Amino acid sequence: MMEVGILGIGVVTPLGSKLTAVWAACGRGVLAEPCALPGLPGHRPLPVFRVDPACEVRHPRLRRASPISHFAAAAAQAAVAESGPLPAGRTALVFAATDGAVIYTRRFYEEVVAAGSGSPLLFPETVYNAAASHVAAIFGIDGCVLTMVGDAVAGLAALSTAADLIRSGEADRCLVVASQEVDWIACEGYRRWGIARGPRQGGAVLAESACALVLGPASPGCAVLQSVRSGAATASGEPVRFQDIFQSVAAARTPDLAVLSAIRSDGAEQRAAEEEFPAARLAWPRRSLGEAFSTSTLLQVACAAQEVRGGGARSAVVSVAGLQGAAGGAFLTASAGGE
Amino acid sequence: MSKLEATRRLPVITGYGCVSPLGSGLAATRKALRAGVDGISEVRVFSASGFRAKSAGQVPEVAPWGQAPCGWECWPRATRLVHAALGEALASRPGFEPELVVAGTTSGGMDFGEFFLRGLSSGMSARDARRWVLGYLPQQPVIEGLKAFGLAAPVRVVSNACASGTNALCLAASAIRSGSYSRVLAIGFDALSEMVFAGFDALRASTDERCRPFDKGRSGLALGEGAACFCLEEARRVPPGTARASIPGWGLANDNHHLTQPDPAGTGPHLSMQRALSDAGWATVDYINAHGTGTPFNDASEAAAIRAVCPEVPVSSTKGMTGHALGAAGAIEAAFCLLAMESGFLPPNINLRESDSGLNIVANTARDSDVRRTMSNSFGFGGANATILLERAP
Repeated sequence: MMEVGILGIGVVTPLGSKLTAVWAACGRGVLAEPCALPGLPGHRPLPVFRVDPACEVRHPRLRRASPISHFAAAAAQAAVAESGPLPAGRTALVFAATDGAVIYTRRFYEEVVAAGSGSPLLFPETVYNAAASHVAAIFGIDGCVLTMVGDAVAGLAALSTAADLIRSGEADRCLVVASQEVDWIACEGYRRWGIARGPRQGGAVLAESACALVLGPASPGCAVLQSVRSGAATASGEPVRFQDIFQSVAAARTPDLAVLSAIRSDGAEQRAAEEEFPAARLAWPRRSLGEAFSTSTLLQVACAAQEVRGGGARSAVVSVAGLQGAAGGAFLTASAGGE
Repeated sequence: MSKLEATRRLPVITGYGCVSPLGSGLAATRKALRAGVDGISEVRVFSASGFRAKSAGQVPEVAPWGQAPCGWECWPRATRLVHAALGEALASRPGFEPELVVAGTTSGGMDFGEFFLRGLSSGMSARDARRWVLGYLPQQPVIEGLKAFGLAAPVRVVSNACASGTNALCLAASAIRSGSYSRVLAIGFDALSEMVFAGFDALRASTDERCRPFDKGRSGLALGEGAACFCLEEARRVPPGTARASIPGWGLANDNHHLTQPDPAGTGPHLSMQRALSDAGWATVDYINAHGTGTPFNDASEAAAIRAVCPEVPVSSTKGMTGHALGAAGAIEAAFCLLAMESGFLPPNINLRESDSGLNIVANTARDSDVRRTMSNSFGFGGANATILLERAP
């Protein structure tokens, strides 16, 4: 079976847009600088991690677009700059989103639905696939363009779908992009759900970010995506066992590095990683970069790929916990001919 | 994977269920579809008094499949629709346990998102806040629906605007063809919500009179809702006589013209139809269920593409009967294609006075026909175009 490699990576994070520096900072335990997002009157704003506003991309398609599209375009441009041009007519795009264009969605509700005024042009930008559409237009992608939505595991669904498109020959390259913007309405939702609490309370800090990966047939020096798996909680609510995910993706291989999500607070993910891979180094980039759900998942994969292609690890496992007992993982190795 | 291997792993539909403004369940739907019933009526789900458009296609009675599961009355409308369609699909293929679920939706549990927004200004209990946030997630209606039938599987949700339902079917079929899975559930769903209704109304895409796809005097779409669900398996792995239809090909295309407006030349629809036919190795089909929303731009663009690809084939848009169910539309219309093939008729394109499409439209009344091969088109915001082909089981 054809090996699928990660040929280009682009990131936009609260710690910058240079992957080597971001990964090094995560390794040192550096935390992004939290800032308070103005929100609901009378409520204490939640801290969030924001990206540098300078990452905005100038393009006619993005004139009215929300931040999620700008972040996505910036990450995609960086990934394509690294991989080389995308082949015309033979490129697919798979986008992963969790909250989508939440800023425009909230504004549309407030201005048009509730107040009966405001611009109707906000509405098309609220659809989940708006950002993917803009990125496709910027790169002239006219084939398969899909937007997968959901929690952190949706990032893996996007990755798996993209790898299938390459293996089946439906595309020669696939741009996988995930992007997340933050808005006070999402902060309120996650706070009331008990997911976002702020670092002092031991909860997640919501974050803006984006990540783009160019997949294609593996070439020397790239990280190879060996497997991607995900599982769902049982009908009775039993969460997926991380041991099962690790065994499934690793298939008896032993990674040098385990990049964990650390979303769930019960420690099950870390315990399982330590049991299954006692010699592996553990890393938690979400602790430094904040929580951006499906985007954080791709950032985990990007960090793992960076370490593998840079020779810091021969192989790496990635694990991700979803919101309702779902979980998944991926396994990466260095390509033959790589370091 | 070689072409031969892919051909051998033919995805087949072994069970399905459908809930739409034409009725709950396949029997009611078949009858209404054949009779050309107009399922569009004054909006009841919320007050449409502040909008230009006042009507939509609404599922007459969203009832649970079998005994109501615990908490049914507190579920988002989308979850109820999914439950009803899923129940019928599973009943038609007893013992089916999916390894993967691929769902298509545009707005998930949007009504719960609206409750949450209103609750922020008017107050809400902590319990309601949590319930509404959870219910808003696009994957939640599917997870909840599966749980009610004692099932669990990884859920992938594709949200490609109005092409989502067809995309879900294509991805599910692709998962079978790739050999990665042998039993996949495909679902398309969307419930009518005030937010989305306001969006189309604000864009003046909705009509304030009847929805008239391909009519010279068409003035816009009517929104709709519903869900359809399909059990997909690999042809070689099902007992003889179990398959209802096969999915021999599909095509996806992105036209990059504009976020909301289609390319007038129909480039995207043309490509997706051509790619689907080429994927299946077919030259033509017996019937096309058009996307046909009833908006001037969409219908003109699609008609141009159909004239170029399959100029003689009978075409109808069923959205004059159901309204546009967005992420559910492609799945519902695939179910209509199956009903047409199983019952030997072409569904009508109602409310047609004078067509300007240049197409062989099945105008106003159903036609008896031995339909074996069908094509269903779905196109959406963002330039998303998807076409799926279905073939009646021998």
